[in-house]
Amino acid sequence: MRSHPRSRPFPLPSAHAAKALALLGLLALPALWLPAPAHATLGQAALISSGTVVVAQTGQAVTVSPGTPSHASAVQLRATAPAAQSALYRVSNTQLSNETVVSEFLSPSGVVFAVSWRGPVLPDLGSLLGTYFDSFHHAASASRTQRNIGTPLGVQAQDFVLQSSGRMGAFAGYAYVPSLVPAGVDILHVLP
Amino acid sequence: MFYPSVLRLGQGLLLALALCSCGGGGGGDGGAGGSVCQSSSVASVSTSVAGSNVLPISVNAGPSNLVNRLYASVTVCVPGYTDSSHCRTVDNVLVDTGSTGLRLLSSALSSLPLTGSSPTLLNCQRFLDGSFAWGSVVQADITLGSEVASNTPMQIIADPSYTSLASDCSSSGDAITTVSSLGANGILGVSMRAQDCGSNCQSNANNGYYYQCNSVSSCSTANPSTAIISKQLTNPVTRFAADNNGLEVVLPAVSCGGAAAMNGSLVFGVGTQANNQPTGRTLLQTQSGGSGYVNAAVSAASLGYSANMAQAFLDTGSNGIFFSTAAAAPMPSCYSQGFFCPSALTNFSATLSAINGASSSVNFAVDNANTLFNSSSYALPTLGGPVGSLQQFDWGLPFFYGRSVFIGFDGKPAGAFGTGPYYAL
Repeated sequence: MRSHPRSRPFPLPSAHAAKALALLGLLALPALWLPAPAHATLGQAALISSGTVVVAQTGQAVTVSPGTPSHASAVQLRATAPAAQSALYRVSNTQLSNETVVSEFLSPSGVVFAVSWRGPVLPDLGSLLGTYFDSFHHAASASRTQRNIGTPLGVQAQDFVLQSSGRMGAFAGYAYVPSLVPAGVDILHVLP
Repeated sequence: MFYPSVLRLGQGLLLALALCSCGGGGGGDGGAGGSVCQSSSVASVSTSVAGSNVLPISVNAGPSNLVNRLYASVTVCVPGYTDSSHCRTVDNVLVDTGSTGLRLLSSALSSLPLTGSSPTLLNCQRFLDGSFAWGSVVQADITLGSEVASNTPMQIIADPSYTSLASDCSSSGDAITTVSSLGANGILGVSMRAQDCGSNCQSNANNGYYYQCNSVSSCSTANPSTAIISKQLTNPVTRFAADNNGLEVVLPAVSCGGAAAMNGSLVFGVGTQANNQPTGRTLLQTQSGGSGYVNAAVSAASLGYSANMAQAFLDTGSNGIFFSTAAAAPMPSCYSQGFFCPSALTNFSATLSAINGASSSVNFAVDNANTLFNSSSYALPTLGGPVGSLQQFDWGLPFFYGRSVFIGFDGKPAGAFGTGPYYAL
């Protein structure tokens, strides 16, 4: 699936969009290409130094216009790089070698409070969800007795929320830990 | 859906009438205001298209008592053979317009000697719940009805000769290895895409779909692998000698209470025979190489709800109407957010619109899943549930009830009618 909308702009919370956009506009620094480590894990500290600020690669289009929050198209990035930042959280996008884009949402202290994915292949949820994988796995097993395995999955466990939807070749989903969401962030407006 | 049998006793006899648009037959939708329909269950409903290009399809309890699952029977043979020792007929294969390629459980093939590349190519199909189907890619003559896809790649799920899993396939959940875990003997993927992966898998070994044994003689390790188009899992209909440019899913209308069994037809080809002419249909074009998306503008007057979803698709492999009402008027859900459970039947109207400017109106209704599951029906036209995405609208099998829906394959023309990919209603 080559043309599904991977590059759909991230919705940012409107109250903070202006701040985020300002950062995008001001910090269009040359890309600092980091080694591509395994991405970080939900609920754990990010692997990326919280002091690293990389917004866009030189020459990449960063469309900034009021009312349509946007950031450097993750599809153009092949390494891990924080792509957007606000005072309340940061987003780090990674395009996996199978073309799926994984986004990690980092609190100011660098903890991954949410992850999302979009692309042709479901990412490795074992490593992405970490200790929350068991909650997901339990819910997925239970769901299988009710719904087709090809239909969307929602998980609302204690302090863990996950949604997985899409179809073959076009997966999309997110997971977050409510207790880790920074104060002032409306999680449902942060996630795609 | 697993039905505890005690819940079924005495059910399905509710007398209340309800307003409902439950699919209307012949591509209609029962009228803008919805039609009155019975909420009691019926034993069976049927419709049938005559012709040599037709595969009978049915909705019933199947092997696992799951609802809204469309099944067909498929025959696979060692290429070049037609005798019983080289062929197997497999029933209860899920008909899925949302995926590509035939996948059959090894348990349904009883040691049919099918082979593929050397070293063997392996395929990983991942599902939304993290589970996955893993197995060898082999060549087979695939017969659907009376049409044959010769020497076509298919997957043997849980092939006992290839138990070494690629970790990036298996790390998100459980292996689908049995009829009970799949709810079928296999999946007949007949989506508008000809291959399950496409060009990315030709050039990129880390594609997440294809793997290859580490040697011809053994398969102790499965490594990421490229796969040329001709070796990828392929929609077998595209490999027919004729009637290969699309298909038509024809299913009968059913009242709100559903039916214990439903019979219909999968008609191959678009505009290739007298029985598959798309004359007068609305063609909803989708993007070539894309995911089969159209736009859905959906509303429910009783909820004060309206929303627009840019990623709407028609998928016989989904067993309900799945969409989010969260942004405007959340519908109550049940079964761990698996399904909607409104206090009363809720009517919706929608407009599907496509990149060619065409649009089509659709009425549908959602009822309480608890009520539905406690009936004796397996074809349930009003089953719906939530998804996390505010952009996606997964029109599952209930959409197809009472309609005939054409699905045009990517890049395949149907005369003057148009060139796929498209849906035509």
